[in-house]
Amino acid sequence: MALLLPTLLALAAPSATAQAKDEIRFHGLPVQRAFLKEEGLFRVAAARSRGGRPSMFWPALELEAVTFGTTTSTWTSAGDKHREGDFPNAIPVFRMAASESGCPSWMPPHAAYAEALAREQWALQDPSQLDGAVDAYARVADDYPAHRLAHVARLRRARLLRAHGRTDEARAGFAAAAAALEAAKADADLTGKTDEETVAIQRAAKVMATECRAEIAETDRVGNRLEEAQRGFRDLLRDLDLQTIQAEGRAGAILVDLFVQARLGQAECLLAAGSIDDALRDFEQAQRTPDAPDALKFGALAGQAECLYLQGRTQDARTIFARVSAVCTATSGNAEPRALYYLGRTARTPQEAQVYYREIIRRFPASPWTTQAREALDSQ
Amino acid sequence: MFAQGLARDWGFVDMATEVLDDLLADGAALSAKQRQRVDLVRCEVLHTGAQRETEDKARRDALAAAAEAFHTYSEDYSGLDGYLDGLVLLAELQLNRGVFLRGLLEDADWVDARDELVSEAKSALDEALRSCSAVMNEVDLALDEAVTDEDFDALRPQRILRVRAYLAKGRSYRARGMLFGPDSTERELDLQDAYDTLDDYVLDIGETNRAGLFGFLAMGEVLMDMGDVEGALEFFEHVGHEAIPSDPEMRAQLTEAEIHARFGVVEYALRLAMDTCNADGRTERALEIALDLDARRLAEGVPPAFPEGHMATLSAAVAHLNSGDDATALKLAKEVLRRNRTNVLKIEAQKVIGRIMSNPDAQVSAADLFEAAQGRYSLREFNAAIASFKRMVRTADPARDADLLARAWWTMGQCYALQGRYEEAAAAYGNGRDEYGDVLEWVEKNAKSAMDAYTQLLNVSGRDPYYAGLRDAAERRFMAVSTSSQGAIYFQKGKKAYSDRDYPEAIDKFARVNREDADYERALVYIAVCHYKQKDMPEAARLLHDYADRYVDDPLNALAVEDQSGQAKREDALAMARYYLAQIGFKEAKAEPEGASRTAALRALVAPMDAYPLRFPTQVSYVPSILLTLIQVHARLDDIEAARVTFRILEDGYPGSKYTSNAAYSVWSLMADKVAALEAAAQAAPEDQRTHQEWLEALRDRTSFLTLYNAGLARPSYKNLRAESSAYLKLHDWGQAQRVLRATLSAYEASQGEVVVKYVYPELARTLMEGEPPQLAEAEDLMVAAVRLTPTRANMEAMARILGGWVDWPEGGQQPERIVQGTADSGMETALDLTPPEGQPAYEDPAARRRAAVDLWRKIWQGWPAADKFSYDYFLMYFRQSNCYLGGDERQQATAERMIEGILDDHADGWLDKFGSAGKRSLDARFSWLQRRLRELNR
Repeated sequence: MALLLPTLLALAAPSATAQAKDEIRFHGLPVQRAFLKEEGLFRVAAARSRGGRPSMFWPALELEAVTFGTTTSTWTSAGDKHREGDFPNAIPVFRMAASESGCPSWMPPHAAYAEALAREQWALQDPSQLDGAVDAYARVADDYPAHRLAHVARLRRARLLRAHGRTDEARAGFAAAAAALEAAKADADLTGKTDEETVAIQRAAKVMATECRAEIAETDRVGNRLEEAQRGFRDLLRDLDLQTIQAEGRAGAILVDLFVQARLGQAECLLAAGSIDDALRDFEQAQRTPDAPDALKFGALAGQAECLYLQGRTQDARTIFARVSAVCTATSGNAEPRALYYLGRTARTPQEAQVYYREIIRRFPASPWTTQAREALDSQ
Repeated sequence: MFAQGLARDWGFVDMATEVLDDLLADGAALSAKQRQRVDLVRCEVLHTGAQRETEDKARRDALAAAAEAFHTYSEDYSGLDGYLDGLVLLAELQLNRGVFLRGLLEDADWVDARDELVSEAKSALDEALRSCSAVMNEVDLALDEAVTDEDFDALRPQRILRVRAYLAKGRSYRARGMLFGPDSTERELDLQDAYDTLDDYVLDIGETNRAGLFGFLAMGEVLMDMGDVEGALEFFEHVGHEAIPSDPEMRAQLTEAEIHARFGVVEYALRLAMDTCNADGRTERALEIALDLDARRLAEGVPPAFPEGHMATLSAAVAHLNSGDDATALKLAKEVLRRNRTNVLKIEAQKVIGRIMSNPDAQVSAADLFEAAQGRYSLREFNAAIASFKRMVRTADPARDADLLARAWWTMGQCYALQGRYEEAAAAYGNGRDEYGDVLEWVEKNAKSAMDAYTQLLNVSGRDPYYAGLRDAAERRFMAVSTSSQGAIYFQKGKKAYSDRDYPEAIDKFARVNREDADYERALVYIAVCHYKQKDMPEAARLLHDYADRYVDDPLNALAVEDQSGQAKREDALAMARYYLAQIGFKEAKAEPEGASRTAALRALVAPMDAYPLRFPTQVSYVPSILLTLIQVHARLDDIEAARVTFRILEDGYPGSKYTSNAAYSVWSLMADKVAALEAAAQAAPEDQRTHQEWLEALRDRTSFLTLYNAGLARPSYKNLRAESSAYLKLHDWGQAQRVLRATLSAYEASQGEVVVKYVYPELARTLMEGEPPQLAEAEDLMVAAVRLTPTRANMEAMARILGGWVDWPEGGQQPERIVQGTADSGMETALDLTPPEGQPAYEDPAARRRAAVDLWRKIWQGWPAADKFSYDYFLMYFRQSNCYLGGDERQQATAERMIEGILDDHADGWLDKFGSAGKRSLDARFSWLQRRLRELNR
């Protein structure tokens, strides 16, 4: 873990010869050293949060134009194949990029991480590739334990496991990720430095460790360990003081997201346990939280509508679900498929219901609501 | 030429077809040659129309129809001048058809029809190949016979046809080859044939002219299909470079127009080259070609050719896109989109834009995303449009792009509403209204549409109070943001109260519409109509006159000529006012005591009502009602002819309308007295054929109105159906009578079974007996039931006739041996085989049936009322009974003989005096027939 800091610094300051001509671009913008400072980190996080779940590290594949000598074409070719969905051919090229002699030091972990990403996407199309993806993330974490991508890999691996119902392994994975982040932060603390980069690393590690706690609670919820999950979310809400983190402005934005996420998680646990009134209250609170991102806000709105539906207020529920379906523009979260599912459940005719179920299957193939939509269609 | 131009250059295929059909319809004005030319152009227009079809199924059908038209042309003009033109055009059509059908094979929607498509494509391409060979052979023969230069010059049109056939042949081989599997021998052979044919073609035609250059391009395409990418590129780039010679001297030999035309070839060639590179991952080379094309366009100063140039631009856009230059790619694709609104290019450009947009990190402005989404909305791809709009919303800047965002939410609402998803539509509109309240142009529209969406929900939910609440809330929001529509709201509220028949409330709401509101004049009229509905006629008439005769004519209220919306609303209001004035006038006239003043009041209504359809031809809700009232006015004025004329106008303009049906009943009622009078006259003078005929015509005419009336009702009344069937029975129109009686049966048998058996069964049985041919089995079933319920003489007689074998056929029937009333003795019936059809238990054999008939006749004879003895009907009964006995055993035949002799001795002489000549003829005919049967039986 002591290697984390030098690795980050090495990326922040490329070699003197490369500095002049080399360029890394992110979202079409040149990535500069400033990005690794706190401000930059959270600008990246904010950019990602618009499209989905916030994270402070950008995935390797988003480095869209990298010019580093002869390895450029190899990297580009793998990137192209990946973008085209040609995963079986992209993966060996990433491996080659990782092992090519003379490549810059940043490339092997990125290539290994890119391979894992490609395997994860491949697994979406072919579930038999799941273990390959899980192992690839594990390799990133094992081979480059102190690299920042190792932390991301641990998180992604655990999320992948959870998404496929392997909640025990996922829980252990999140716990390991949290431990690694705590250790990284401790290492950074030990240096005693107070420069911007060290503070950024300390802060990033702390935020990610908090994110891991939220993920562990969410994993418990998904794994139906509702008491543990509820306890986890409650502790998180207690520790995250909303007023304090809101006062931090943009820097606290990720923690606001985690706060809303914890509130939502708690509400989902209450709903699953049948405490509909309490769940409704939590969903409403989550929805009213200022600065909450759309994905979470609409997630809360959908949860609120489900509570109303369970209370027998079908028309109120339907109106809110329609709002979620029509107005939610977030690309992550399950608010929209959930809304579509209930719009189908409350449709006036079976034909109308089919429209909603088919839309879920078409647009959200990986959503947990897709299974329910298929069952509803089959039962018609 | 005009029609060709309409179809090919302007896309007005229907109009072109109409022009040609008009020409062909006016056959006398065309020479045979002109007619042939028109027929050929018609085929070409059909081909053009088919190519312009955007919907696959319609295009497939249209291409097949065009091919059929060419086949007809070939059959009609085989061997004549112009025949070869038809063959070449047929080959080109079948080539296009084959290529199109092959394209469908890659479409998932057609996967189930794959075999059918392959077979259809093959036969089209086979025919293309046959036609090309036939043309080439014919022209070659003619060329062989040509000796002098003049001969060759005279064959120039045929030589051009040969060139076209040659190229089409090579392309047809290629298209057919591509129908086979990738590694199949058939594909290999066809592609080789295609290459060889095109190679010969280029040698034959020359390498440097445009036709030859197209041959090279086609060869390159064949090489592509063979998998020889490098070879294909050589051909494409060769043509791209050589089409316009770089040598100044050679270039100088070309006219400006030829250079322009050749630049189209350059664009086509370079497009093929770029497509090849793009598909093969040769990004850099594709980009080089794209840049080369751009440079040459600048150098030549030539605008992109249509459509090749634009397609080339799109290929260049793809090349830029593949090389990572999204911005240039987008710029080029947008340029194509801007310059073209034709379907193919628009769709291709949108595809490229879609590819650019599919890259989540592509640097695309909100405006571009909006345009792309709007394009999908225009194509009615609603879900794709919603997804694109949502992406646009995610990337747009709420402050800078507020206008676009407000429009986006409104269009998203439209996407949902057009799919019937009104709740989501209302949510989208509502979001646009709430989030972008500053965008004045759109906030009102979003608010109005949200209100309308909830109104729709209210309607589809059966006026659920929950949605009424949401609608009211949406309406309040609308009122809050609306600056100009309060009047419209009050007007709508007034109409709502009016449709709920709450007229005081409606008057209150309409009265709140201000003079400056667009709906003011209609509100004025509605207020008057509310008084009318409350039966306050004087006030209604006063208000309507005030509007129609004073307000509209007041120069202060004149509308500007260009105020079309205002003019249209005034027209509506005036039409409504005049309509209700007419109705009030009619009511007032009816209320007048019968006499001169009523007649005068009715007469005063005729002219304005007559003029109404001409003055307000578009008022389809008022015109038929006015015509109905006019018919009733004519009826009351006893002007039957005018009523009938008006009815015809109504029937022509509004067939199937409830007014037409009601008017038919009016005319039916109106004609009752006239028909009754004629019937009485006919009965009073049975010899007067003219009066009889007049009565029948009037009865038929009158009955046709009742038929129309009954047909317009879901369940006509029993009384009216009976009236209709009785009339047809009187007219001896057995078919119509049977139709009506069956309708009566199906409508009323369940509810009024006994009455139906008693009255409808015998009549239906009669139509079955009298109809042509008689359906005696069904008639027998009906009569068995009828006789059981009501053993009247008439019923028993009918039953006996069925069983005993005497059936009168209708006049004009196709059975001359049958006897008909009033005919000479030439038409007598032969005995019928009355064996019941299999499965019918009524009578087991002819003997049993005859026995039953004999019994019945005996009963009828015995029960015949003394007062009615020796009437015309009595003799008919007597003859039928005799006939029945004649079919029996020796003893019964003897009885028959006695009966017939008795007639001869006692009655035949008095028939003329008693029944007139017609009655005598009828009885003589039957009697003679019976005598003949006796003779045949040696009696």
